[in-house]
Amino acid sequence: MRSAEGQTATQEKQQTQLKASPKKESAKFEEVLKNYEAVIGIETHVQLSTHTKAFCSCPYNYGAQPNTSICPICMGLPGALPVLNSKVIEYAVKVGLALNCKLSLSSKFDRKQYFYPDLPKGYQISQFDIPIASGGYLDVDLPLEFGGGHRKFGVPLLEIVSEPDMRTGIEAAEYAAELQRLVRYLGVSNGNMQEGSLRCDVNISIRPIGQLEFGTKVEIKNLNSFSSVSRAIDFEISRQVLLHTQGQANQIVQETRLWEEGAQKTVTMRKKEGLADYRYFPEPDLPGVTISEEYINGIRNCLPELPEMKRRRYEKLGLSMQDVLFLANDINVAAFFDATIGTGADVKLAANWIMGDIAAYMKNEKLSITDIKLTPKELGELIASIKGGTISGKIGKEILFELMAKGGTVEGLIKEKDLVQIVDPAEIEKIVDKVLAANPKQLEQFRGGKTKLQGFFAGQIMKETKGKANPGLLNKILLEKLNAKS
Amino acid sequence: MPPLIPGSRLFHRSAAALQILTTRKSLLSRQTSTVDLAKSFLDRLRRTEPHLNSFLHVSPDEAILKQAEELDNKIKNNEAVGPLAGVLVGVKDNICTYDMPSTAGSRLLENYRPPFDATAVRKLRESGAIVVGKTNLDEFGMGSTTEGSGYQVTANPWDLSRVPGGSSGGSAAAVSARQCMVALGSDTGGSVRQPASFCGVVGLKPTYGRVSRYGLVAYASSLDVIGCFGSSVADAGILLNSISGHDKFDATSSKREVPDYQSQFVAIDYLESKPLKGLRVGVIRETLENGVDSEVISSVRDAVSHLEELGCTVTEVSLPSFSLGLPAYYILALSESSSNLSRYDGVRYGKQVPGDELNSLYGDSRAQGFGSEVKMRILMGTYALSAGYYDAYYKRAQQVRTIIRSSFKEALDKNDILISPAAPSVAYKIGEKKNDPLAMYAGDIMTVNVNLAGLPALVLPCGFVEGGSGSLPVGFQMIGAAFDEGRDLSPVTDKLWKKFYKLQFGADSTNTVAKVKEREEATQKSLDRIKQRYQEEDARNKSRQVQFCSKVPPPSKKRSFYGGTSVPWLMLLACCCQQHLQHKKWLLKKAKLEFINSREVKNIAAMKNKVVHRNHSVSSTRKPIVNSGFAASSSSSSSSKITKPIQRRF
Repeated sequence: MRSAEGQTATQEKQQTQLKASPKKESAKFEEVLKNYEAVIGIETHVQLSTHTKAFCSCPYNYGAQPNTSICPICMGLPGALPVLNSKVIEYAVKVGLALNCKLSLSSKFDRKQYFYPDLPKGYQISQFDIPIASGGYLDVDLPLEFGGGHRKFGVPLLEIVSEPDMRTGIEAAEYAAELQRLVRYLGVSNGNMQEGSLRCDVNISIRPIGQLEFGTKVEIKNLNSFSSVSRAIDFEISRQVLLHTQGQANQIVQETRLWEEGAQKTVTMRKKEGLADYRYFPEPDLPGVTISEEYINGIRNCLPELPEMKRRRYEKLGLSMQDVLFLANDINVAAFFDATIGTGADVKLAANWIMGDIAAYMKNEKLSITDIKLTPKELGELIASIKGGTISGKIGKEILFELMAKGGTVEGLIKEKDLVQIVDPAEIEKIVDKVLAANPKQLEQFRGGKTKLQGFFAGQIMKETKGKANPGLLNKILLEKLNAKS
Repeated sequence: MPPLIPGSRLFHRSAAALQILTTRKSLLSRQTSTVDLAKSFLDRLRRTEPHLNSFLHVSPDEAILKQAEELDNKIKNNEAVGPLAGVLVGVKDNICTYDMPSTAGSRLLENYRPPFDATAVRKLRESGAIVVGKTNLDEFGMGSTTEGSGYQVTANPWDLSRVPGGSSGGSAAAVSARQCMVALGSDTGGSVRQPASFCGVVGLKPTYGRVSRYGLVAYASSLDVIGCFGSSVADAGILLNSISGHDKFDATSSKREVPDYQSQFVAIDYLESKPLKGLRVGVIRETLENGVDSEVISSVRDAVSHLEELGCTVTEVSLPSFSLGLPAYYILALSESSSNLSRYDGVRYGKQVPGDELNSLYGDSRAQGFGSEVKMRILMGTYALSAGYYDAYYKRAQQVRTIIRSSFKEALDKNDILISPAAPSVAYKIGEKKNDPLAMYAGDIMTVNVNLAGLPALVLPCGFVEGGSGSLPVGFQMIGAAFDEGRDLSPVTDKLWKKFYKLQFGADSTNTVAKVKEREEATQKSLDRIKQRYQEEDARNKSRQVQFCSKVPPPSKKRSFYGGTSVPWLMLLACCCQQHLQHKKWLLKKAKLEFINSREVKNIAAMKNKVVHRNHSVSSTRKPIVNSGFAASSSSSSSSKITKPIQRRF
C-alpha cells in the first residue's frame, strides 16, 4: 500500500480527528493513541460502466425508473440463464493489469447463496476461489463479483480487496482515492461514490504496538466520501482504543457498524453470529472464463497512461507538486491539459490558466471540464496570442470567459470584437496626445507634482482603446509625453 | 374403462401415417389438410385424456386450428413451410411457452405464464410445429414416475394402473397414445429415456449443450438437457434437428455445427444383408447383472444378438465406475437444485402466501408451494453444500463424475456405441414406489451415468414383457460419444436409424437415393428370410403370445407382429424378444441393497431423519448417523424398514 501522493483528504485530518473522538479533550488521550496500532483493510466494490448488465442485454442507467430496465434474465424468471457480458472480463483484465496483478488465464464463476430482497435468484454469481486477478502492486486481490445493490440487480461489480496493510484513516482514504482515479483513467467505471459506483467497506482492528496477532475486527459500511472513510476510521480507532484503555476490550465484537455522517460516529448495524455459510459452488450456467496471453497483451498495449505515470511525467515537465496533483487528479482535466500543451502551448502558462480561471469558472458554474465550450486548441491559441503580443492578458481573460461560455475561436473573437492589441507606437502616441489634450486640468496637476495621476491617464487611454493598447508601450509613451513638456 | 393399449380402437390404424415425414408428404401433396390432421389428433386427445392425464394444459381448439389454417393457406399458395409444418408437439411443462402456463408441475408456479418462449419452443414454432399443450411431469423434474406432479398422476397407456415413468411421463404417455405426434421432454438423470422405455416410444437425450436450455426451468443445470420423444427414430431425429444449435442466451450451448440428421436416413430397400457391418457395439456388463429384471436382460440380450446378426461386432465392456454414478448423481443434482430453486420466493411470480414480514412470506410461500419430494431434495442439497460437508459430498461427487466421464471415453474409443437397458424393470404399478424413494432412485441406475458424462443416448423399444393388461414394453439404451447424435450415433443414425426408418415406411421415403436394383433385391431377400424366421418362431411360441411394437399396432386383438399395412419399424429388434417370457419378478433387491449400503445413502437417509441445523459442526451431525439404527438396517434385505422412519418425516 503506497500513499505517498496523499492529498485529497489530508487537509481535514487534524480537526476531524479531534471532532470525531469520543473524548476530544485530552492531549493525554493522544498519547495513549500512540501506544496502539490500527490494522485496516478495505474492500472496494467498483461498479463497472458497461452499457448493459453483467449477464443480460438490459441497459443500465443510474437513476432510471424502477423496473424499466429488466428482462427475464435479470428478473431471475424460471428458465432464464445468465450469459456473461464480455466487456466485464475486458474491464476486469484492465484493472488487473493496471494494478499489476497476476492474471489467471482461466478462472471460473461460483454461486454465493443467501436470501435477500434485491437478489432475485437467491444467489449472487461471483468468483470465489479462482479470481481473475490477484496479488497486485498495491497488494490487492481482485475477484469479480456480481449482483446485489438496491434495484440494481445484475449490475457488474468488481471487488478489489486490499491486504490489511493500512494504519491510518488518511492512508485508507488515499488508497480509495487512488483507486477512484485508476478506474476513471481506465474508463471502466465512473467511480462516483455518491451514486454508489464506488463503495468502500472498511475492516479495522487495533492492537497494542508490538503485538503480532490482530485484534477483533469491525466492519464499517455506508462510507460515501473519502473524508468519511478517513473520519470513520479515525473515530473507530479512538473508540476501540478507548475501550482498550478502560479495560473493556471484550466489548469490541465482530460486527458491522454504520457511519452516521450527521452525528459523525459509527453505530452498530448488525452483529454477526459466526460466519455466514454462503454454500459456494461452481456456477453451472457459465462456462469457465479462458483468456489468452494475446488477449491480455492486446489490452495491455491499449492501456492509457495511469495516474502514477502521469504524475511522474508532469513532474518532469517542471510543474510543481501542487500543479501535478491538481492536473492528474481528474482524467479529463489531465487530458485537457495534455491536449493544450500538445498544441505547443507553454506548460506553466497552460497549467496556470487551467488551475486558475478555468477551474474557478467550472466551480462557479458547477461544470466539468468536458462541459465547457473551450477547446484545448483554443486555449493553446489564446496562450500563444498573449505570448506573441497579439492581445493583452486582460483581453485574454475576457476572451477566455467568452470561449468557455459560448465557444468559438480565439481568432474569430479577436476579429469580431476588434481586439487586436495596438502595438504601433505612432498610433498610441496619437491617442495619448488626444487624451492629454482632453484633460488639461489633470495634466496641470501632474506636472504640479501629483505623479499619481499617471494611472488616471493610463486608464483613460485604455478606455479610449478599449483595452487594446499594449500596456508596456503605452506607459512608456505616456511617461515620455507627460514629462516631455515639464 | 377400455384398456388403452396401443392396438385398441382408440389408436390410429396406421401409425406410419402419423409420423413427420409421411405427414409432410401428404400435406404437401394435399392429400390431407393440416386442419383435418389437427382435428384427428385433438379428437383422440379428448377421448384418451380422461384415462391418461398426460396433459396439464391443452391449447384451446381454436388456437390450434387457427395455426393449422394458416399453414393450410400457405400450402395452398405454394409458400414454403417449415420442416415441422403441421406437426403437433407436446411440450413438457417445465419448458417455457409464452402463450400457455408453465408450472414445472409445481403448485408454486400455478398459473404462471412466462413472458417468453424457450429457445427450443421458439425453434419448433419457426419450423411450423403447433404446440398442442403442456405435459405432466414430476415437480421440477424431480422424480421417476410422474407421481410427484403437484397436479395429477399420469397413467401408462399400456396399462393404466402403471406409471409412465418420469419425470417426462406426460410427454412419453402422450406420444405413446398418439395424443400428439412428437414431444419435448427434459432429461437430468434419465427423465426422457426411462419414460420412453416404460411407454414404448423412442426417447432421445442429446449431448449436453446440443440444445439450448434457455427457457427450461432449471433442476440441475450441469445435467439438464432438453430431449425428444417420437414414435420413430426418424421423428426423434427430425425433432432434434429443428431444436439444436448454439443459442446466445445459453452460454453452455455448443457452437458446433448441427449436422442434418434427416439426410442420413436411407430407404429400407437399400439395406444390405449385413447393414450394420463394422459397427462396434459394446454391451456394458454391469448393466446386465443382478438387480435387473431377467426379462429385461433377456430382451436386451436378444436385441444385441440381433445386432450381431446385422453385422455388428459385439463385445462386452466393463465400466467398474458404473455403480458410483447413482450416489454421485444424487449429490450433484440435489446440490444444484437447492440453489436453482432458491429463486422461488413468491415475490415476483408464482404463488404467494402473504406474510407480516419478508421472512415469513418467503418461508410460507415455499412451504406451501413445494411438494414433499422437492423439499426433501432441497434439504439434502443444501446439506451437501454446507460448510464442512462440501468436501465430503459435493467435491467427491465431482471427482466421481470425472472418473465416470473418462471411463466412458475410454469405452467409446473402442466402441461406436455402448448398450444397456434403459431401466432395470418395466413400468411398475402406480403407488408401488411412491413411499420408497430409495427404490425409486435406484431405478435411475441405468441412465444417470450418461448425464454425468454429458453424452447422447437413444432409447429404443426392444421387446415386451408380459404383465398388466397385456404386455409392457422394454427399452434398450444406446450411448454414443459426445455430439455424435448424428455422426457417432451415426452407427445408429446412419445405419440403424436409416434402416429402421425405412423399415417403417417402405419405399416411399423423401430421401430416396438411386441405388442398384440387385441390392434392393438382395435386401428384400434378406428381409424375407428374417421375416420368415420370425414367423416360424412366432408360430412355435404361439402359446406365449408376445405383443410387439407400440407404433405400428396390430390391427386386431390377436397380435401378429407383421400386422398392419407396413412392416413394424422395430421389427428387427422387437421380434428378438421372444420365447420364454416368464412370470414377472422384480429383481431390484440387490441393486437396492448395494445402494442402501453405500455410505452416501446412509447419510442421506440419516439426513432425512434429522432436522438439519445451520452452523452445526461436522462431528455433532455425524454421530447420530451411527446411532440412528441405519447401520443395522444395512444388513436387512428389506428396504421398507429403512423408509418407514423416512416416511414419517414427510
